[in-house]
Amino acid sequence: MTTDKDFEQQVRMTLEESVTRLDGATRSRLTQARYRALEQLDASGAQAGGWWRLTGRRSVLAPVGAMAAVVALTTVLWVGRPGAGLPGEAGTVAAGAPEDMELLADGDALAAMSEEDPEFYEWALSQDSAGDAPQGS
Amino acid sequence: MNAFVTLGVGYITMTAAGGDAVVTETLSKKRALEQFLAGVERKAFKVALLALRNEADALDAVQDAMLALVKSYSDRDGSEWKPLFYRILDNKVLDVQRRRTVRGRIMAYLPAGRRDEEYDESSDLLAQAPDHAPLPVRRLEMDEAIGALENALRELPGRQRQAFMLRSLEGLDVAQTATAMGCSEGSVKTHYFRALQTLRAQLGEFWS
Repeated sequence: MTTDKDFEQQVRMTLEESVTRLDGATRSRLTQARYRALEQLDASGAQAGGWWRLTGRRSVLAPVGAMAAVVALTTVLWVGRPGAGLPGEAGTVAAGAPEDMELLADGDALAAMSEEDPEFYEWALSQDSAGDAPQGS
Repeated sequence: MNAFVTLGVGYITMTAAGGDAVVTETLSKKRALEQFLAGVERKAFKVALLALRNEADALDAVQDAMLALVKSYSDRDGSEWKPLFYRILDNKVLDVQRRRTVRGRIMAYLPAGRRDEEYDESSDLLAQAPDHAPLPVRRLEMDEAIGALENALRELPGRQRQAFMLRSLEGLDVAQTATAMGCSEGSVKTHYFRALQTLRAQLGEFWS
C-alpha cells in the first residue's frame, strides 16, 4: 500500500510526463500565443520610449519650456515688427487673396475675362479709373 | 544663441540616455516574461484542457490569459505572476464554460440541420491517421497511467481539480493556490485533501 506522499509523487510524475508529451502542433500554437502576448509589450514599450523622448522627466521639461517660450517670443516680435501689417489692415494686401494679385498682374487674364464676363470687366475698369482719379486731381 | 544650442544639445543627450534606459528596461522585462510564459504555458494548457475538454478552447483560454497578464500585470514582481496568471486562466475557463452554456441553449432551439454544420473531428482524415511510431512497453504503460489519471481528474469537481492541479502539477504552495483560486487557504487545503482521497480511491489499485 502506497502512502499519500508516494501517491502524490507518482501523480506529479505522471502529470509532468503528460505535459512533455504534448504534440508539436499544440506546442507550436502555445509558442505563437506567447509571442502574440509579448508583442503587446513591444508596442507599449515603444510608446513609452517615444513619450519619454518627447517629454522626459520633470527635470528635462525645463529646457523644453524655455525653448517653447523663446520660439513664441520670436514669433511675436517678428510679426509685430514695423511694416509687417496684419492681414486686412489698410495699406496691406489681404493674405487670403493671392488669386486677386495674380489676376491684377496678368493683363492677358483681364482680356480673357472681358470675353467671358464683359460686364464685370467694365466694372473693374471703372473701379480702376475711379481709384486713379483723386490722385490725378 | 550659443546658450540656446547648448541647452538643446543637453536636452537631446538626456532624452537619448533616458530612452535607452526605458528600452533596456522593456527588454529585460520582456525577457523575464517570455521565460515565465514559456515555463508555464504547457502546464497551463493541461489545466485548461482538463477543465474544458477541448483543445481549441483550452488554447484560446491560455492565449487570452497570456495576453491579459502581459497587458495588465507585466509591471508586477515576477514572483506574483504565477498565481495571477492562474487566476486569470481560471476566469477565462469560466468564460468559455459560460459561453458554452449560452450556446448550448441557443443550439437547442435550432433545427438539427444547423447543428450538423459544426466541426466534426471524425470527418478529419488527418486527425484519424494512425501513428506508426513504435511504442515501447514503458511508453504504453505510461500512456495508460496518463489516461487513467486524466479520466479521474476530469471526474473531480472543478474546484477540487483546480486545487489539485495547481498544487501538484504547478507546484504552487497553499497561499499561492489560494490567490490563484480566489479563496481562503483553508478551502484550498480542503479541496486538495478531498481530491487526493478521491484519486487514491480510484487509482490506488491501478498504481499500487
